[in-house]
Amino acid sequence: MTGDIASPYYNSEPYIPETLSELMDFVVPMMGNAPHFKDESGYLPDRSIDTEFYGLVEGFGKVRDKIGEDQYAAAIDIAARMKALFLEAADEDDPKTMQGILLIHDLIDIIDAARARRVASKLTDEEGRVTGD
Amino acid sequence: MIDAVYRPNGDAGSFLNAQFTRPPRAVRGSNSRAFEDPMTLEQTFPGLRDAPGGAIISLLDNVFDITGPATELMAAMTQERSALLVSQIMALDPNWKFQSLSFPTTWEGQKNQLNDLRLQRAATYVRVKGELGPMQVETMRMIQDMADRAYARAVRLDEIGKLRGRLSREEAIGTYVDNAVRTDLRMVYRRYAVKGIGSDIRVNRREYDTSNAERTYRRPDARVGNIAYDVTLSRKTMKNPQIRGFFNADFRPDHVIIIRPRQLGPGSSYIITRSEMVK
Repeated sequence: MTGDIASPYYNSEPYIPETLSELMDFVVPMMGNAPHFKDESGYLPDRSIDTEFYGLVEGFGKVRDKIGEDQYAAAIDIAARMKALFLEAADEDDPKTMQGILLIHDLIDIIDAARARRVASKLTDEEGRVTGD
Repeated sequence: MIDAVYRPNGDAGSFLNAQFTRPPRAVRGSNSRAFEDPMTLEQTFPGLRDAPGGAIISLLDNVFDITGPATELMAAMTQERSALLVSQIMALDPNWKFQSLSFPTTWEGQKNQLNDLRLQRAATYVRVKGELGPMQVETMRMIQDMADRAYARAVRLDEIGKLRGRLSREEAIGTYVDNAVRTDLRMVYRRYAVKGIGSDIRVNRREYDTSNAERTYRRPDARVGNIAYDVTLSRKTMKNPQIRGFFNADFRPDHVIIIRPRQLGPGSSYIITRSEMVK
């Protein structure tokens, strides 16, 4: 695959979600991509469990001030446990995969709660709108 | 622009000048249309240019996928098409190098290389010429593929009871597909260093309508220049306020492309052309 070699026409840095809504977009499909997070489309040959969790952890870092320190710490802990489970899982039917997916639900709850608090508090996003972002 | 034939043996990226010929008759069970290389939506759908406003034009199923058995003939066609794409990119950007260790040995790898080269060509058109037509075509191709895959995964998660339960089944699956397509699209645009991200090429960003006293907005799942893309499970038409809202946005899209997972049946995805009666 052409993506195996560094090129000025490719950006090799993993994607990091920037906002709470982007983070939600990122976290939800992790349920289906677990446990190996391998690309099947051919467009993202560099995708791996490492790039996925790098994006996840860095993504929570980007919204750390919006979700609060306690929830940030909880999210990072969940991410670590998730990755450990997926690394041990043989395939998508493995019980460890299922346990990891339940932890994804916990991450979704953290993001949902943060967005709901921001809406309730009428906190605006980068464009000055109350969206939860 | 040169016609070339890629020779996988020996040095990667070596070419012999050759007269490119149209693909021979496709093997039984395959779709030779997938080897055609449209670079604009009008080339992809010849009836689009003259379609009346408000028309709905179905995307032909599998027009983009290379289906059919992995025969020697199909491999040869893929190889030949890859060589043509390489030559086109090099003609646009002489600094571009075809980075590949070798021609893929698996059928899946060969198809993936074709998709990769098409996307590289589209990104090169944006970077070098500021032309978005090829990226509009490739975005449609990608979103369809991403939606199909995400739908399959969502259905499976739902069947094992692991999809979130607060929503209805359709809402949960639809939300999953939306989330997955947006993330994958952001990743791909980033990976291919596509210029214009955030300006002409956008994923789920607000598109404002400032024509009224109160500024409103809609959020298409993607936008490439004057084309909006919406990923959905339900069939949407001009009767939907959301679709009218896309057309009324300041960027005045020529078309709105509705992408629905192909598991939903033939003609699941379609283009809605602009009608001047939009309000």
